[in-house]
Amino acid sequence: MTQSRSRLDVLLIVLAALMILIGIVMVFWMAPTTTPESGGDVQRIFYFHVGIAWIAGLAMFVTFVASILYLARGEQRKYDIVAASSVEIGVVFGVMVLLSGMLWARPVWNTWWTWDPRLTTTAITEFIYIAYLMLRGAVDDPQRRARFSAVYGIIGFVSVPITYFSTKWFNTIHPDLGQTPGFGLTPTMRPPMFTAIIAFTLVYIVLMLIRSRVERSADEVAKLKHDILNA
Amino acid sequence: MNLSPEMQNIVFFLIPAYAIFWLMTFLYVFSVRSRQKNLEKDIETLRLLVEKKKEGGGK
Repeated sequence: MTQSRSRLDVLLIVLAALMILIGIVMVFWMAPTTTPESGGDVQRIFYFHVGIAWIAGLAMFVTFVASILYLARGEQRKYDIVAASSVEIGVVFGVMVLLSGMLWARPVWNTWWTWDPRLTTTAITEFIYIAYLMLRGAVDDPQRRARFSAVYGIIGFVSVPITYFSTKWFNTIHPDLGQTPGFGLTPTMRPPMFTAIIAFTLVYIVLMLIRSRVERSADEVAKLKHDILNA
Repeated sequence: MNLSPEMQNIVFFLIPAYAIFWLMTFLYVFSVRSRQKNLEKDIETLRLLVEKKKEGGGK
């Protein structure tokens, strides 16, 4: 069982690394260079930026679904493990979204940061999920922690669609891919874009596997401590 | 060092953007792995303690 699990881990890690490398090759050698107004070569940041943003959104959506399942299906710990693991990955990728966006904005918009609706809602979402992690750290009782986190994970998710649709609902200077046919991608931009998205999804799966194992090990530690105290 | 504006964009913005992904992913994986290792050590120690308690009849 352990051997087949570690084989699956290795297979997924190799597959994810391979897809990331293929993605990089496609981004640098296949994707077209855009006009200087769009950043020229700097626009190549976009392929990873979108892939990373997809993972941050997916991670928060998984937390949202796991939180609902936790409350709806008799507070089973497995759903809390998924929610807690996914949030942490979402927060890490959220930081990457903000940083890669800033590195694109500086040469194109001539500023690192502007209070544009998309940027602002992204930052707010990031802070909401950092607060989620702080909440988890602040509650000692595991059941109360899981229940509070599930409620927070459901309510906090409201910020994700607001962030996504902010380019449609508000005046923004952020590129708006979701509202244009074919996601605003030319035929030569699509293969690197979709490769990056598949690669990042694999990275997310690998990170979920290793992160949820930490939660299960922590449970085992708690159980053993309990056994010792009650032996 | 005299770099063209396009080259400056590549060196100062494009490469760091990709480096951030690798750096943060490796740091995160390293942090998760070290947490896991610490927990595995704890599990090993606690299991030994449980065994000892059992052998000692709970004394």
